[in-house]
Amino acid sequence: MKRRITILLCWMAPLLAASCMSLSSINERFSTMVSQSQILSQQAVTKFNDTTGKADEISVDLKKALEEITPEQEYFIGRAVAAKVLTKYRPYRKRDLNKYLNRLGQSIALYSDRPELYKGYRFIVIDTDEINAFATPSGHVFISRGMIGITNNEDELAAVLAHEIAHITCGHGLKSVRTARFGTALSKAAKSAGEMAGEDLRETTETFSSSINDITNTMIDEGYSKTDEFAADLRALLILKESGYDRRALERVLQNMSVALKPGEGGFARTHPEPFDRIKVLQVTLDSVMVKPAAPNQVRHDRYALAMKEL
Amino acid sequence: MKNRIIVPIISFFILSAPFILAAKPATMSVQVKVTQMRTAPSFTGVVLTTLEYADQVDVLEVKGSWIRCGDHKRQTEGWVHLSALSARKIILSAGSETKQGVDSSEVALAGKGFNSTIESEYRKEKGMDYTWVDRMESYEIPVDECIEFLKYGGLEGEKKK
Repeated sequence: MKRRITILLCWMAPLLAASCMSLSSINERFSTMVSQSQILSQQAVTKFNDTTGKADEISVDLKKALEEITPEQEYFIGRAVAAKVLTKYRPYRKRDLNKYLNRLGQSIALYSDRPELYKGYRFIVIDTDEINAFATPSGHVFISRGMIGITNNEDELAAVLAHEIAHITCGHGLKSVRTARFGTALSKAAKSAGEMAGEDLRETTETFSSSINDITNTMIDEGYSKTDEFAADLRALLILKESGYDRRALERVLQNMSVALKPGEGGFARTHPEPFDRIKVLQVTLDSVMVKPAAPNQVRHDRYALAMKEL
Repeated sequence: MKNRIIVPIISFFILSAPFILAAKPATMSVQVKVTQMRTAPSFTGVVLTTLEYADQVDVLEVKGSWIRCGDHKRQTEGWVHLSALSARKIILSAGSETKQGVDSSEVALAGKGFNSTIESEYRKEKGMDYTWVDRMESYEIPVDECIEFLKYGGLEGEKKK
């Protein structure tokens, strides 16, 4: 009898091991979850790699630094990028339109794979006719009047916002940092009083400043790689799908864009792949999933129409 | 005969020792400014309490992207979204007391590197205006309002998160 009990106890050891491993591998689960959608993006992009142009590699040092970065540090970087964007574009001071944009954007962000940021997602309209949109690494999203103007309904506007949210959840902004001392500056420990001073402060501020310039230049002037843009489109599809919006809305907004964008035009046309190419990549995924358009809804229609009165 | 009993007992303890030690619930830190602990693994769950940056929680259960955990400070149990938590320990104060005995590789010291001091210096040096950044950040829509927004728009989501 005793022997049976001891044998039984021995067999329980691996079971205990299994239960412990499930607790200790939360981080791995999270990375798996994130990488699943990355694989999905990658598969579609690979099928369409004949148009991907810009190199999409980042240095080993930057990769390591990005693994270490905390949402709090991301937040201070994002705020500075937002301030920089606002030196170039004026905010469009329409209270109801901005409130509607935040209701819509913050609602669909709950269905992204990173709903919680250090201080959450925030949206604002920028006062320009140019068709454009930007997102800082920490959740500040800027949408131009021109961009809102090419949408015809809430689903299409949600698709535009979902694409920007996707750039944030994919961490595309920080990937554009070229400043060599970025990693060192990030890991610099605060002095005992929590304050940096003298040469340390001056150096870290300089690194901070040039990192902000790298991110802002890529965002506004150079654009992310085509691979990143396609990946953001595909991640946006998942956000639309999860929140219940029409997945075809992104494709429709890209069609509107191809009509509205003039060849050789600056802004969005220069920093993004051709809308037609983006549609082709989307179709690889869209065709493989059942697409049931969201039912028309009067509330959705009316609140969009009301907000657009301020455009 | 004695050996037949003793050997399996000893081997059991040797084999299970690392797992018993590891069975201590994993501790995670809140890595966002504020987050809510809810009754269910979904943003539609009722809010039990609000957690703040660097609060510590013990992981009890994992369900998709949600963690059921126990909050050290308030002695409350509930669900928190995974993206609000970090497996790295976040310590608010850089005081020697809290740092003692903690493996430096696990410590993500709050306020390290790019922090509010750097921001003040940057603003001063480059003459940056943050007025609209602050105003933009004040456009917060409570989660309950977001859920209502989707519900009234006939959009409850395919899968409740």
